[in-house]
Order: sequence, then structure tokens, then C-alpha cells
Amino acid sequence: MHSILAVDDSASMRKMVSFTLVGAGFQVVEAVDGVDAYEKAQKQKFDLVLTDQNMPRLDGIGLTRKLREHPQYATTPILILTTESSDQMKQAGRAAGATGWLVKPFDPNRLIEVIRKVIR
Amino acid sequence: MVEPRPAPPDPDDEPTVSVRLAAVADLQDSLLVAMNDLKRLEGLLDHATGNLLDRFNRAIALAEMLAAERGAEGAVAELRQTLNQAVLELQFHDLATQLLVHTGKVLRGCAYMLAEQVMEPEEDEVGMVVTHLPQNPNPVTQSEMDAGSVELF
Repeated sequence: MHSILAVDDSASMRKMVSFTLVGAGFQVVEAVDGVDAYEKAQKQKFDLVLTDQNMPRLDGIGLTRKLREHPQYATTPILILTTESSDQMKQAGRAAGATGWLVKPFDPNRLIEVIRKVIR
Repeated sequence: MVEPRPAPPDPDDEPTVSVRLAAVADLQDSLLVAMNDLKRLEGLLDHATGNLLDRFNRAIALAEMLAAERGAEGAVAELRQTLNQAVLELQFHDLATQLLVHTGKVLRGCAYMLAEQVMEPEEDEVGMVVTHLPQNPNPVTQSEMDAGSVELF
């Protein structure tokens, strides 16, 4: 079973992502922001990271950069799921090493499809 | 020949208006009340959405129990699909919360700016340049609940 680290400072978003992905057969661990996510990512190896962008302490792009510096996460798919849709933000995410940029609200079926496409 | 740039306007030369102190205080109070009301709305949304998602999970768990007893896996799959579609609409909560938080910051900033214009600064604020309004634009630009774009790099 593939494991996914779902990162969002919104409790309702974390529940909705978990509901969607657990129903599709993934194991989901939740984190409340980038700092919490990075700590959890060091204790357990995840097959994919799905993170919000605008979060306190450490945002999604910052988390992506930190994870890419970690040998275990050099090639792990990292998807940013956010309300931000500007080209400038997308390019910043891409430059940080993100695998993809998904704009909220997400379609659950499309999210599952994208994750199955990129996860190894 | 390059013409010199005109000097920026002197703030002391800008047109001003007279506003009664009491009116400014009333306006500031109203802005803060509106801000608090938005905060309460955020709390109501949190509560309702949390409960709704708990009901979702419970409904799925019950359906799966029934399916195991009566061999109705197809119906459970359809139920999960229907609930998945509702998850898209439920994300209104996250977008609404971000809008509320940003609008609250704008209102608070307006209240503080009004106070700055008419009142003397506190001792520890003398000489400080304080930016009260949010520096970044509102991150929520969506006006409908259609699914957002997906881009793989």
C-alpha cells in the first residue's frame, strides 16, 4: 500500500484529502504545516507528498526545497495543492522541485488519477 | 536632452479633509465589529464542515458493513463515488476561510490606519512606519466551485 503525507493547515482540507485517498486505497498521514511535515517525513519514508502552499512556519514551496535536499526525497513525487494559480507561483514551485501544481478545489477522481500516474 | 524627473509630491501638500474624531472612532469600531463577525462566521464554517465530514466517514463505514453482510459492494462503490463528488463542493470551506481571513486583515488594517491619521502614536510607536494592510493580494481568485487546473512539470 502506498503512503502519502498530506500537508495542510486547514483541518477540513486534511480530512477531505484523507477521505478521498484512503477510499482509493492509500495510507495517509496528515501534517499541519511544513515544519510538522518535514519532521514526519524524516521518521517515515512516504511515497508521495501532497502539500498546501500557504501555511504558517514553512510553506509548501519551502517544504519542497527542504525535502529535495534530503537524499530519501530527491525523486519522491511532491504535488502542491493550493488556491494559488498565478504563473509566477507555479514557476516558483517548479523551481523548488515540485512534481506538479494542482489548484483548489480538487476533483477527487482527478486527484486519484494524477497520484496514480506519478507515484512509484 | 533628458528632462529631470518631477519631484514626488510632498505629503504635507496633499489635499486633506476634516473628519470629526467621533466619526472616526465610530468607523473604527464598526470595522472591528465587522472583523469579529467574520471571525465568528469562520468558526461556524469550521464547526459545520467538521461535523459534515465526520458524517461522511460514518456513512461510508456503515455502508461497508452492510455491503459485507448483503453483498452490495457495487452500491457501496457508487455511494463512495457520490460522496467524492460532494467533497469537491465541501472545499468551499477552505476557500471561504482564506477569503474571510484576508478580508479580516484588510478591515483591521483600515481601522488601524484611521486611528493613525487622527490620534497621536503611542510612545513605543513614535518614528515607526507600520504597514497595516496585507502586502500580498488575496490568494483566492476563484468565483465558482469548478475543479481547479492540474499541471505536471
